[in-house]
Amino acid sequence: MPIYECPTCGKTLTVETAAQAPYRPFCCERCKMVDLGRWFDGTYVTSEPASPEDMDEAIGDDHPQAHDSPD
Amino acid sequence: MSETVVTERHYDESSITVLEGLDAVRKNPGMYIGGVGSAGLHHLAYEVVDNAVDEALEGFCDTVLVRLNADGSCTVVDNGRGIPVGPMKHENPKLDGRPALEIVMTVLNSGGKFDSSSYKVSGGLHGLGVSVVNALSEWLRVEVDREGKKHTMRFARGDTTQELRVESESDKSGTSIEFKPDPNLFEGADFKYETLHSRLRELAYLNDGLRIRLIDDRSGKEAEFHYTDGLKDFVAHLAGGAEWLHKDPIFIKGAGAEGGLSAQVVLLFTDAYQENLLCFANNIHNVHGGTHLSALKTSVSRVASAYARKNNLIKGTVNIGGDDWREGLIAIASVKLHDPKFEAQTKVKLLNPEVETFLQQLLNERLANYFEEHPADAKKIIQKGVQAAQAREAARRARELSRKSALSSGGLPGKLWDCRSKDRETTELYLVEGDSAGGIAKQGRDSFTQAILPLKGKILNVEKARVDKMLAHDEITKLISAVGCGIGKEEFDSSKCRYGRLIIMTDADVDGSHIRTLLLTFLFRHMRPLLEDGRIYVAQPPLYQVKKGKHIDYLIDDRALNSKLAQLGLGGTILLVSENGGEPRIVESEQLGELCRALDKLEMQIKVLARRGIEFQQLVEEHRHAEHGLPKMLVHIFRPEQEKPERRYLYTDADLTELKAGESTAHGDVEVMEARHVLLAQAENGRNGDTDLSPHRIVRYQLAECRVLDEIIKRIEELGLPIGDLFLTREEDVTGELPPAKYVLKPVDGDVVELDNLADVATGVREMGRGGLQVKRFKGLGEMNSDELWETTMDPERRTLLRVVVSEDSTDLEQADIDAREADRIFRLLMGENVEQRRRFIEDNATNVKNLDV
Repeated sequence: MPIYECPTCGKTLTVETAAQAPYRPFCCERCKMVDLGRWFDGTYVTSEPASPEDMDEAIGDDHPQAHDSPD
Repeated sequence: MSETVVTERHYDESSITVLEGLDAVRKNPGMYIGGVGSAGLHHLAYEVVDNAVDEALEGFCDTVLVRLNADGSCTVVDNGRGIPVGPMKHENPKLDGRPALEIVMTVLNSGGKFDSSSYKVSGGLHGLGVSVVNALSEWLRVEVDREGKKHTMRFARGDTTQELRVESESDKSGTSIEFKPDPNLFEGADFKYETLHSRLRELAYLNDGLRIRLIDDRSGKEAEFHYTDGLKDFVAHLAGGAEWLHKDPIFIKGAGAEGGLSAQVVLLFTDAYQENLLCFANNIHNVHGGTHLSALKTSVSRVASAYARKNNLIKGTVNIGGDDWREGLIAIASVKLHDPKFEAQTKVKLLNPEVETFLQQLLNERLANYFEEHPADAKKIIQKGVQAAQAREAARRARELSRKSALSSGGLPGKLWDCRSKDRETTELYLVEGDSAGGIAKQGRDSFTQAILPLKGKILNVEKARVDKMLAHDEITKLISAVGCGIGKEEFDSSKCRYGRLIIMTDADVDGSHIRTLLLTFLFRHMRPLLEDGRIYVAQPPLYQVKKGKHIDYLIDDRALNSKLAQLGLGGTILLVSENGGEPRIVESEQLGELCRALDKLEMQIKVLARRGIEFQQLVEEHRHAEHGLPKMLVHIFRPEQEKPERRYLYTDADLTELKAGESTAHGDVEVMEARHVLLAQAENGRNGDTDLSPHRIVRYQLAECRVLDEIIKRIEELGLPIGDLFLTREEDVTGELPPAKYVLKPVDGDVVELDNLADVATGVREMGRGGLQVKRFKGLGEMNSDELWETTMDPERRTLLRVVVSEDSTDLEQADIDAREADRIFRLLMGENVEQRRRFIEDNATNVKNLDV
């Protein structure tokens, strides 16, 4: 059963099928628009930037290791 | 205005003043009561009730009864002081010496309320006086209990039909007015129970302690209203089912220095999207507001934005307007004053300027105090306002953008290098990080099918090791315009997508990862159908260029480089394994290659384990099960009475079931939770998070890497090599000599290399492969020339793309794909504030990505 966590309000939505959540991953139209507004107005700033190690780990092991120096 | 000089607040004949005659009322009722429909009819009842409420405001009355009689008449009874009945001085000789009651009932605009020394405040209506009601009634009977006697008087259409007379002795006080609206004037209009119900309840809300009963003899319905915290009850009633953002309504009360001005304001912020502000002056609802409403609006905006600024609660550039702060606000402002001035006879708007000044000052101060004293509530209120603004602004821009893209190519961003083909299914849009890489891609592309849109991250702040970045907002706009399918709720239409594929091409560094995560998150959240249609890909530019003589290879990542080095190193090399000084075993060609690949994989999985704080050697030596191999789960068992969780390794689901049963028996109900969910919840809460979790719980970490490790170990053992040899060490003896190595690599030509243990074989082989090789590492797309970029990354014949998918749950994630949901998770962590949680989350959720040839 798919579980959606609304990125705006954090509410957990459990639905049988994806079609039941028309605003997914948001819980409602409002939360979707709030998020869109944040993209537009520059709210989304990586205020606490990840360290290089964090990022590499986040992206996965098979991904180019930007910070190894093989030569 | 008044001839009468009053020095004390007596309410008797001398405080009644007369302004003008009654003549015009019957000729033109609409002018006085707004119309002869239902509203006008109810106005009559309100006028009489308001007079009773005025007595209550003065503290002389606490009960009002309103009865709707079967014949269409209405009776209003109060227990106030009773309208004065004695003879009254009057400037008009005709009226001079007539009973005050008669003057009140028959002369327009007469009444105690016109002289503020008698009533400090007065709602009454409508200021016209009960004489208007009298004039418009087929008949009216009034009874006054006052000074020990019951007095009566009767009228018909405003004319006296029975002079004032004393009926009997009485020990009560109060006024009872019974009137029947003239059916010739109010054709077809009847008193409505519901209408009166709502107005009378409102009056009770506005006047704490006042008891109002409504009885409808026609239907048998009745109601009683009586509140001690009326305004709070009123807002709660108005809020309906909306969720409150704070526990109690905010109540503010104050009195002005002069003019009998006082105010009560109650504010309730809810999660609703509408605002509902009701303003009353002397109990009269001013439908169009006025000075009290504007004071309320101004103060809420001012206090909220000042607080938000001071506490740095607004991120980004959003412009929050008054409407935004008031979204979901339910408020009632009730002011009382001596000399209310209204716009229009129906009192729809209050005009007194002193009310605005007074109320604004009061609210600015008290609301600001409330915010300071309730920071958690204040934060929620501010967030609500910020969100309202964000949603409003987003909707506006979404409409604008969608409209632009509807005008076909008119709205395409200037930086877009479009492709020539209009056959959507064969075209591709490359989203390229940075202008310089964009330029190279433009030169290298197949301009028939490939379009290029350069996007850049905007650096906001660079200091020491900190870099604050965002995807500049106009980049998002560009992306939306270029893709062409609009944005927002109704506007988004994936069938309008201008390209068959969107390909994200970023550098293989931190910035590139950032931008890729941002883009994927945006697509996941706002262009999801494109993901579901499988239209989103990630390009894989090479990280290394490897040159041997004239031969050039491009390698996509460290793994590819390693296997290249291994391939070169393996050529003819053999591995000698010496056992107890006997003849060494030889591992060569295919077998050695397989061993190297197994060791590479092993190393990778060991890293995964290490990030969890698990040492591979210890795991193998102490926890390797003869039948089940390595443990497949790590659980943390939290018990209420224990400070630290117990760590335990489990091998099968049956182990977990057994553990759970054991825990339940020993310590009561236990909850089994996935570590991922726990961490995500904590990360999003931005606090320690444990408070919400069951104190008795089993947090499960799936050790997926151990399944892989079991496989690898099996393969190594099949080659006849003991797994314990991975951990061999060689220590110098007393003479400083190293003991002979068990594992020795021997190349076709050149020196043998002694190895400490089995684990070093792969590294050793690669080192041999590195001989005579030039390895160049690309620091970004910009270091490639356009031919290189085309050959390695953009040429559909040769490139490698990763398809981006959306997993329903990350457990069912196809290993071959990039998961946009995972990008969203990473994004949330990048945006989050808790570094430690972010780190733990990332450790637990390292995404595995494999290459997918398209």
